[in-house]
Amino acid sequence: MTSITFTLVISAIVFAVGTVGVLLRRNPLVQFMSIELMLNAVNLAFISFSGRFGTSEGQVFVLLVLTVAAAEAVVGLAIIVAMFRHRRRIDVDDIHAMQG
Amino acid sequence: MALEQLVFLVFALLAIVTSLGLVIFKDPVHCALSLVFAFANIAGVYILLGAEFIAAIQVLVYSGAILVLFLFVMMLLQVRPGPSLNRLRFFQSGFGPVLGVAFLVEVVLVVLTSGFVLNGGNITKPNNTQAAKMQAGVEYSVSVNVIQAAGPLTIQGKADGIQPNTVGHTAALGKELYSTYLFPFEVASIILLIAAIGAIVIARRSLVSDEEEDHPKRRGISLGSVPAQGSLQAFEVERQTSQSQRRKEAKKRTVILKK
Repeated sequence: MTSITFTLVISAIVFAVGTVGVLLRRNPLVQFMSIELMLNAVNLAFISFSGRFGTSEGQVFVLLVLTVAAAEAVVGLAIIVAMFRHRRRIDVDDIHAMQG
Repeated sequence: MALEQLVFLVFALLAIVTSLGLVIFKDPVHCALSLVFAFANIAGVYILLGAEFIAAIQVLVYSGAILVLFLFVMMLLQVRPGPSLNRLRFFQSGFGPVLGVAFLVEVVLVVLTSGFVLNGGNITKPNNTQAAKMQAGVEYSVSVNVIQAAGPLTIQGKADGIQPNTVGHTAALGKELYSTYLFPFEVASIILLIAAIGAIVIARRSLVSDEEEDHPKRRGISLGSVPAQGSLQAFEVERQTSQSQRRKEAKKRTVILKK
């Protein structure tokens, strides 16, 4: 049961759920959280391949993905805060123009 | 083995269900809490796949730092009025000490139980000690080098299914990270530095004061005369007025009784 197919199926399901979250929700905070979930699904695929092939390259790349995810979350939240200061509400429909 | 698979299945199903909760819940705070649970379950899956270090990092960085950052931003932006915690005060004062004592008893029991006694720094299972793990890591990295010399695709044959005890040791991962992948590691640190600087620059309050600077809604807690509907202040004011009304009614009743 703990074969690589099973973990990859879990990873695919979680990734699809994250995609649906990005597409359906209008709150940019929830969209960012969905993106984090998608990155986590990718990490799960990396780790299952790493365990399957007996190497640790996959885990190294998981660390790099985690770094990029943290950077993305920080910058995205800063953009959301700046947007909220500017317009008093947060909705992705407002962000059709990114000028200050 | 069957127990391990069962635990694996439970972690996987919980991860999927809680990530569905992220999409389904209306309230962003509920979404964030559901996501914390999903991350914890995925960390459990990582442990079962033999990646203990990544699981620890997952719990520390994702559910510890990034999700807390999300919740801070939600509080800052006041996505919704906070819950009125006054109703829960009884439960706080009642259950808090009980839970604290229970936790203390648990920890003391764990320390005193014979299975966890440290005899001279060696934990009882011999293949669980740090030295054994280091040894395994060294052997592992040596075997990896041999495999890489032999060719990229002849990787540790006999694998249908995942062997949790052969990979994922932190020592092997550290060696790999600091020798072969040193350059990506440094690039990652530079990415973090740039992200920190960029976040400060973007979210910084502009020095030019725009006309909305003193808008009362701008502050997280409104200090104006009329508190926002549904906020903690509104609840407090309502409670005080109802109390004073109750006191007046009680006075009236006593007066009537005296009459």
